[in-house]
Amino acid sequence: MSGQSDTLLEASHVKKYFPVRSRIPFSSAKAWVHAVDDVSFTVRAGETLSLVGESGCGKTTTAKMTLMMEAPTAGSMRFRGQELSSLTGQRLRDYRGAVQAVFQDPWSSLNPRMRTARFIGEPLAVNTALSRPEIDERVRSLLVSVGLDPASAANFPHEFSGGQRQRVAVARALALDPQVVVLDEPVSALDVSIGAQIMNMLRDIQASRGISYLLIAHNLATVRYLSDRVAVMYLGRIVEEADSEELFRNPQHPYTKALISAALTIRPGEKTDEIILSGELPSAVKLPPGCRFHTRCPFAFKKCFVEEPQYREIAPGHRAACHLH
Amino acid sequence: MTILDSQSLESAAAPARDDDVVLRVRDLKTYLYTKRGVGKAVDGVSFDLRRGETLGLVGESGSGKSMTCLSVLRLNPEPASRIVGGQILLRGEDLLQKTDSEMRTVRGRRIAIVLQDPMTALNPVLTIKDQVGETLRLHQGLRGRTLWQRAVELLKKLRISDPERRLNSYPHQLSGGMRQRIVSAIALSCEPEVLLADEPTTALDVTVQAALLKLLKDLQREAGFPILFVTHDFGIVARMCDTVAVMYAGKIVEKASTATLFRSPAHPYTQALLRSVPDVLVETERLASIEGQPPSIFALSQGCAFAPRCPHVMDRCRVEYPSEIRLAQDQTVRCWRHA
Repeated sequence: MSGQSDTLLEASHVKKYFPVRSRIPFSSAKAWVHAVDDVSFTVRAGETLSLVGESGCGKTTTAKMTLMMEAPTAGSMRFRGQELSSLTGQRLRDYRGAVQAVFQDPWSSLNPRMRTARFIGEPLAVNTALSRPEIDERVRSLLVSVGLDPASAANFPHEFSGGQRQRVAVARALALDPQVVVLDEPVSALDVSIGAQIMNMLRDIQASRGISYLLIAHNLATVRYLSDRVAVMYLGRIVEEADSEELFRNPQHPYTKALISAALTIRPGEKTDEIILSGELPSAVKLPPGCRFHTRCPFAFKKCFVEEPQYREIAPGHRAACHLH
Repeated sequence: MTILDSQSLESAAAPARDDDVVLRVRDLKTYLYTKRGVGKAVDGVSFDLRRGETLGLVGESGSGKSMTCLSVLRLNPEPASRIVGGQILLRGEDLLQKTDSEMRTVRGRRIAIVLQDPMTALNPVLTIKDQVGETLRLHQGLRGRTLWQRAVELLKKLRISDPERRLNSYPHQLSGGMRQRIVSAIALSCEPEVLLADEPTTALDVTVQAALLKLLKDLQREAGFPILFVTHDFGIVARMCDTVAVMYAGKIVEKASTATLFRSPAHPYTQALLRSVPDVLVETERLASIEGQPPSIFALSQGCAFAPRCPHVMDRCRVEYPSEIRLAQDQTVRCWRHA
């Protein structure tokens, strides 16, 4: 459905290992935390790709690598065909403007001592040659586009509610007209009714500006509402990826099934098979042999204990890593 | 559909099974006293909790659901807040009439609580053994070998693997799910008559949450204690609760059996709230969001607190708070549209 041309972000075989050192300073690493372990995905123009998984699955580390807050240990991250690690000077600044982020907690992501106008205008002041009145004009139109009163430009963050703060964070992310916005749990710190407002706003902004989202989330209902495609992560790997509707209607990996079963539905009568996972997430330092999910998988059989399943296409556009297929 | 005063309403609610009521809360009022003035955090809340029942207390932040829960144990922060009225009847005994030392024999033994964050609920410098043992020592007078055996038994009951080793661990050595099981073990150690659960799974991952909810349900089925389950998540309500009370700005605006509430919510707030959550099992075209913000409990008007955001608002709503209206055997609502 898409050519090579509309691929914006592309990660291929990306790994990120963090060293675990002993207490002796400058000693070499004793072991490695396999935070992200061979992950590949693409973000196309105008679409939302979600990375879902539970804490420790590597979704946030992946987001940080896209934002160049961490450098991959191995593999390549490209933006419009250009290797991120090779970007310097103006090209690096362009990239930072093209890929922006909105974080989970609008209480800590906003500078409490900056008025909204300065906070939203800061990227413009740093990256463009606009004059102060031009910046102020842009800030006002950004505030309107996120549903805030332009007069609130003079406010400090503490004068806003949680939902309004998240709108301010989105306005700042949009200031430089980005092509991709990384949304790291954008509504999980908000109340239900406010979360709905923000999710609707994010969809409207995407529709009017044609930007792409890389959504990091653990709530599957949020993911289903916002995504075009979904990649499920477990212990540093993507275990299943498909178009959003396909993934939720027809999940193939046992972990995806367990996640969907654990996500609580509010439709009375709709009953999923209850899959309760036993045990805990294994350590990312000492990964289990074979399939990394076998320690908790209700369907594990002999092969799963010894051989790592291949990540392969099981239907058009639907990939999974499981010996059952 | 008739308007009843609260007295006759309650007698109509439970005529036959009155002796099943373990906890009865009547017209509870907990106010906040701050520089900004008086905030009505809990403003006339009433509910019954029967044997084996799970009542969900749902609402958004600031609706007063946690404050209600804490007030039942008289653990609301003082002097910032004070319980200024009402009754909390545990099998007929009014907890608000008890002295502080009498309350200490109620907390942990007769009414137990599980809080949201297991990391802050546990003491980081004491072993699990010390913390599980504390309640058993205090309330049941167990010592030495019997204390240890009882602690091991408890952990086994909570499906914690390798209990002997866990008892000698410190909280930081355990995962979040394990910690919340330990907290639940402490809460259930004295076989309480009532369990209060204040968002016990919010800090947990979804698969771990599912396991803990199932465990609580199984233990409840075995022992029969009622649970007051405070949550903002309708998904948890659907899975855990028999009845639901929806709170808005310190008041219960709708109370119904879970099935009824999901099938035919009567209060405009409940209706809007249910339409504003996406669901994992069905595709949602567009979420209906509730415009505006919840009101400040420090500046509540005479009328219905939801009136400024309500799509069906009438003149009467702005001047007079709706009384409780019974729609069915298992549903009451505070909304003038149903009067």
